[in-house]
Amino acid sequence: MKTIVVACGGGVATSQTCAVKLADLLEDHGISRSDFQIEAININSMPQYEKVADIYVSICGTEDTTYNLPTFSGVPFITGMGAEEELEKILEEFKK
Amino acid sequence: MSIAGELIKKEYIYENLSVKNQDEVFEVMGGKLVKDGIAKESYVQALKDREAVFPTGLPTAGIIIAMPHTDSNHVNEGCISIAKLQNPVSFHEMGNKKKTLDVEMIFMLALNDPTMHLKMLQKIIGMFSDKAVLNELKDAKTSEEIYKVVKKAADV
Repeated sequence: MKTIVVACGGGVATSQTCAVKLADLLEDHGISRSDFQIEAININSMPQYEKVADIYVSICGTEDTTYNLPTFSGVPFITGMGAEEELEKILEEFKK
Repeated sequence: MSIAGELIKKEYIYENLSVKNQDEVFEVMGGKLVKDGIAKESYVQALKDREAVFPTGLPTAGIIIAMPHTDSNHVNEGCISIAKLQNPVSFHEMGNKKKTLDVEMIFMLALNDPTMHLKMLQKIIGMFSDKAVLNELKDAKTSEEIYKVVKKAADV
């Protein structure tokens, strides 16, 4: 079971949309719904999630603060541009 | 009335907005929302502050979009103001402050209760990865046409 957190500045619109999209894509690529949980959060809550999450998907940039987690960009899942490439990298994490 | 109809009103759609920079986008579009009581006095400054920390430019496969917004405490009623810009205005890319985009279209979100409108918000944001809808937005010339495209794509 992998825990994925998707964080944006508000924790509502953008991160939720990204989380729904990513969950669908993971399922389409053969990852069972019972093998992951995904949560959309406000970036301010990130320090609490850092300890429990396995994968961090950021929509608010990682140049200011980084976390000790495998980190991916969520923006491709919002725009569709580069989504396949980013998804491949996340799928790699599931093989670990 | 549908939820999309409640949030998207023709008087807040601009078919050919002439602005010089990001601040003018916030002042003209946000200022109208403040004037009409939809957003609070603090809204325009809050848009600027939020954009500086969490930029909202999106490089889509069709028309380049920005979706400025604030926390809900600066808003009285839910509304989405939309504008096609006469000349592109530069915004930083969401998640990448080092990159600048020439934004052609604005979706300004004023949300007093985002959880209430979550389904619709997801549909609105979902449009940004939908090539067919993006092309329809690109082709839309009048505020009536923009309204129709968004309403059709966002209705739940």
